[in-house]
Amino acid sequence: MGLRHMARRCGLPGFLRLRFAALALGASAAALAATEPGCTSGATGPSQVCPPGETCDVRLTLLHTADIHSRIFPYDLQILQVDSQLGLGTLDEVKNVGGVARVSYVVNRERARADRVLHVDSGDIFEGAPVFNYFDGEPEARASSMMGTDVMVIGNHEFDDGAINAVRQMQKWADFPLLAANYAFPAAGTAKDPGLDTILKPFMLFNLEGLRVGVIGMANFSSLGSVFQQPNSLGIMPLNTIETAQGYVDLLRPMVDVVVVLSHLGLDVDERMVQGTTGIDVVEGGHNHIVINPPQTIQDCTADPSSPGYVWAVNPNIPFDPSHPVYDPADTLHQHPNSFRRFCTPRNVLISHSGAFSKYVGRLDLMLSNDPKRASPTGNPDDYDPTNGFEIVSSTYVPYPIDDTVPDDPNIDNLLLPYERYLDQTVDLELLAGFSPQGASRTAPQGGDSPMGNLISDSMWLRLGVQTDFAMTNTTGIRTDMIPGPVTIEEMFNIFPFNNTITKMQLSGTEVQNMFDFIAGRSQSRGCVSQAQIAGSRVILNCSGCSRGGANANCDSDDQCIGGVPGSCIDGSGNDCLPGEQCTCDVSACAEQIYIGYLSNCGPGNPNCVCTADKDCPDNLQGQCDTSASQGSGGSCLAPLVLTNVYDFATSNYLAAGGSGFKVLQDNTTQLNTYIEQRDAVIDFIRNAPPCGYSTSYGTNEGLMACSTDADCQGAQGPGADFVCACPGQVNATGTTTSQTCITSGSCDPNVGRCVRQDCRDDVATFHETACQSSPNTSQCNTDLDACSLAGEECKLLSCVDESLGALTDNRVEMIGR
Amino acid sequence: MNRAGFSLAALAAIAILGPGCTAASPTIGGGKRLVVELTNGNLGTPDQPLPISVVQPTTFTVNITAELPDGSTDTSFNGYVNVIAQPGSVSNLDITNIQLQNGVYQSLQVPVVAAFGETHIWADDLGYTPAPPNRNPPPECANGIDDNHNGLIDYPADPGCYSPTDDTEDLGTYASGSSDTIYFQLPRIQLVRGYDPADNGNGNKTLFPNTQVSIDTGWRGGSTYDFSTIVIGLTSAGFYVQDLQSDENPAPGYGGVYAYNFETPAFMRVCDRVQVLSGTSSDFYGFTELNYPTWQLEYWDPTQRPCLVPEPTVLGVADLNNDNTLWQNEATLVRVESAGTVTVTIASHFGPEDVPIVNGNYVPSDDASNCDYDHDGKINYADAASTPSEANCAAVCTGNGLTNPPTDYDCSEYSQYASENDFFFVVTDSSNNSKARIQGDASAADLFDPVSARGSVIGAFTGLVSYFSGGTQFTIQARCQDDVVPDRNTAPATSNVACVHPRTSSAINANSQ
Repeated sequence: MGLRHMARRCGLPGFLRLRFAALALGASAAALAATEPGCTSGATGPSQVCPPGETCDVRLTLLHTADIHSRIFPYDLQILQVDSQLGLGTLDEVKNVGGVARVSYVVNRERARADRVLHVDSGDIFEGAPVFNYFDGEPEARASSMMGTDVMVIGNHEFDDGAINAVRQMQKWADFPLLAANYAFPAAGTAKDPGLDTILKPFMLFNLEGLRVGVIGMANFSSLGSVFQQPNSLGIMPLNTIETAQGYVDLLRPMVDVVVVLSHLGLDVDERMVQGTTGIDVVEGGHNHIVINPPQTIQDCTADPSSPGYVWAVNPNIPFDPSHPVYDPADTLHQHPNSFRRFCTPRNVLISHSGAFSKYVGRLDLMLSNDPKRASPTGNPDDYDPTNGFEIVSSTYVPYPIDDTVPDDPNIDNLLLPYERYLDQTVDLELLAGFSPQGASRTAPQGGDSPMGNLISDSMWLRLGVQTDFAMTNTTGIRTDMIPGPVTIEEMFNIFPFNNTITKMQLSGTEVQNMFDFIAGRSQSRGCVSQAQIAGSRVILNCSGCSRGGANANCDSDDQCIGGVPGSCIDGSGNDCLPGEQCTCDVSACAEQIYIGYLSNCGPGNPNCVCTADKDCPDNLQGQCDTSASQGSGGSCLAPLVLTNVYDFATSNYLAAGGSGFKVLQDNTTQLNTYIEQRDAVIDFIRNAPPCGYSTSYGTNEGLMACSTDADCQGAQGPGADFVCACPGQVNATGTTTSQTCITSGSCDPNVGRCVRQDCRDDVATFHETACQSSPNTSQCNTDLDACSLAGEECKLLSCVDESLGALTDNRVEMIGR
Repeated sequence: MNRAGFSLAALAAIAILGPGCTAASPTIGGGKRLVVELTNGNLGTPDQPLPISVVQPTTFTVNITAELPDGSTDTSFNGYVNVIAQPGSVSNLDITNIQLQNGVYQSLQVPVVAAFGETHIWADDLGYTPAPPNRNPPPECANGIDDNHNGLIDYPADPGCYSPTDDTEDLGTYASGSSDTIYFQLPRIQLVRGYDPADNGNGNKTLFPNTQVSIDTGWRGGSTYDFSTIVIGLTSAGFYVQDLQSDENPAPGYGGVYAYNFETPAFMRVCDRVQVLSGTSSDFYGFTELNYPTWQLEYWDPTQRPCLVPEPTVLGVADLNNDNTLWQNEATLVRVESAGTVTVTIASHFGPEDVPIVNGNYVPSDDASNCDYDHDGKINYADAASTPSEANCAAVCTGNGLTNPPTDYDCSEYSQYASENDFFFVVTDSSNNSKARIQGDASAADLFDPVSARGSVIGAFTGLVSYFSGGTQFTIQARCQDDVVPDRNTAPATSNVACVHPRTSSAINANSQ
């Protein structure tokens, strides 16, 4: 057996939890390092890994999961390029993947196949599937415990039902240590203290048969912008990432052989943390949902990448106000007065990310050595620092795909069964909302509006009781693509897991301009990919500058510049503007054109504002002629934004509250929460749509072509689609439970026979047959179900989720300067 | 929240954590290990690394010894161990699993290929005992019997089964060890791109698929460079670098590569010189990329040295009709230009309306080159039997690379432009009545509208060559407005000034709601 259960854990108990400013930590830890050589962790564990007086090699195996996001049950996924390259399936196939019972099987198999091993999780086990909406994280925490997770860093989505829920679930169900070294907390028992300090530790020490491993947890800030406002509802006071990481490295180094940082910072912050510190061996990261195969190798001790060899012991660029020691990146007034460098030798550090949604388990094998020659970062034994203990000399990495070939861990299955039954009884997740012939992507090739984004924003905009001038939701709130085939309620939860509601408000034209300028800046910093999806509006976002006046205006602070993006007000040297300096705005992105609604009268020559090109519209502005719905018959002129107008606007309550940095919305005082959930609005929007092949010209109640045989359906509507005659009782199943093919038989009464998409009938029949797989009598279940007949009848009614419903890209968000 | 508080906490922590410090005699962990000792072969040095070879192996001799925790030889061990090279691979599959006798294997010859940088030979006891898959009786891990009585049967259920050919259901010791460092050269960009005449690599496919590679950029420390690798272009999701190959005569080409970074790299500008560059090499739809790149730059200072971005390679009709030439120039700066007998024209059949069908034929026209009949933003290449057929229309308007050119040579399929910004140039040479097509992307040139300019002759179009195996293959991507010269009488900007924009600022990246 592996050594997992022989590992000794050590950590600070709650009453001794570290609550101090990052600077104090660094200085004190350095002092501590000088006085405590070679301590071991654990009262009874072996004290060393090598024979006395000798150096040696030793292997450490890290099993890694991240961002499980409540995907504790298996689910269907359309396999795209990256996943196919990683072995999850064949490109474009829809495959059943994920599930923590399978994850647990692989984790424990690999645990058994390793010597010194830890299973580490990089956080965000909560949120992303309906089970979280109903149980608030309880089954996720219990499953993580049962699979034997050794240590986990808390992710930002653990707070999605509030800090108190995170505390409650983890206190009750997590039997593994939960880390966050870079969070400090208010005084215990005060009104602002939700009790996070009772579940979070800064680090853990493990004794793996004499190999002493320190694991430091670095939690997320980039998606928890509110923590920089004090106090905040989470009761978190942020500590500077680099200062904190270095402080704990220095604290632990005398006691451990290996330092692992378990991170939910995100890859770019992982990189900056490594470059700004010295002494970390490996980072197991999350948050980005990516697999880095093999792990990235990056050098530490490169605070200045063009001049490696030092880190800042005290960084002059880190704001530090002795009277307010909470780190605030926006504080440009307090530059640290006592900066000095700490010299070091750059070493290779590994950064590993192992994907998301329970699709992969990463296995990282590290070959470690404390032989000065082999452990030296330069090959020169003199450059080996014994304080660093064992150094990585080589590594291998395997991301194990979690697909339907992986057996379940029966213990996890048993654990989850009651939750699954409860969900089946209380919410029919397999209820069909529609049929999607081609699916709908949440991303757009050109970075602008996406089919899924347009569908969602349209559903908000047109919702009865909302019906505003325009609507907007955030791109990153849409968590996955709609896969081709039957659209279930469960899939809608997966696409839209957050219980956000629709909030209405009135925005002045200036506020609209500011909002889209902010979106442009945020989009520019994320690969020029629009961070907003809209309806009732059209906008052109420029990622490579701003042709509008004021882009280079004089300024005193960032918020005086277009978009208000941090760092946009700079002095003559390109640095952040300090009080008293002559500064100018350096705006790298803005909204160039904004249109809301259509013009109603374009003058005597064009009273209906019809156009085929921008020049046909009175303002002749770029993108003003909207031909997206013209089908070649001419478009309509859009109405340019008027700064003095007032516009009715709908968005999510998350964005209205300033989420994702939308301070411009947070400050608005006209907000009205409709309490209509965004997800419900989308489901209702889909359900109200007609079935595939619908046309009023057919004269039938369903709007579908009447038929007796399949041959009658050859003229049915739907480019590129085959239609068949759906007739109850006159269809045979010829496929398998994993791929059903329905064949029409005989001739049907044209009063009941209707032409439906062939792929709808086959796919819905396959969907139903899958339900029979868990039946004790599969054959009888299939016979009773008569899936093909049922599917044919359903496809007469199921809404068609395709371009006719707005699931297409129509360039309403145009990105230029990519 | 003060230093006193910290010190107290920390000292208390040490008191709790540190009882082992005072132990009278140290205890040794229970893990066994393997010792891999290199006994023969040139190991290279950091200053004199061994040359890389992708096909021809470099052979090393090793002794492998199983050791007990106290450092003595485990003479009871007669199991198999797995031998690998990292990075690289062992080319002789017969020795990837070798059996130790009495805890020792002497003088194992290990041929290593595709190794680079700091390489180690590993040995692992995986608990694997190889057996022929068709043996009778079958191997323990494929015989349907719970041989080790742990309640689990065969591969993959029993974790002791490494594969179906494993002849024991027992777990290994998972003892492992690695050799001293062997120093190989780092690969230059052309090798990462796949160009290696010695190993028949033609540059179409990376020689290091899904491998973390560090590139030899020519930097030798301080201000010493054997050759230069320069940033030649930035995009919204990464950057292009080119090995100038100034030390090679003739330069082989294949010197450019794209580093995919998800976002514009922070604090970088065209003309920077790369000192360190690493990333995961892979072919994304045929286009070689470095994923998750890390880098170290010598920031370009105009007062210290000139900008070293090379002038673009001017491609003529023959070049555009030769895939090998285009491969050679992948990820480097190229230009098509109207000069002398050569004329570069934007395809004239290029507009948003659907391509009409006339007498069963797809007939694009000036305003009608859209084959996306269902307006879902993509071409359905599987609907050839339907009418209208997006696939058949695309065959007329777009074709597929050089082997299947379009029927309408002057067509630029509109949905491709709407979704990807791509459009076609037609390049003709009146001196020999030859012509070629190449796809362009001017999305980074805000002021240039190719639809409005359809059918017109342009002066020059410069950009970086990308490749996509799933469609029309090669594309020239303009870097900025400087790269597009509509007027035939205007000279393009030289490379030391074209698209040399100010340094990028910091970037944020997150995955919030």
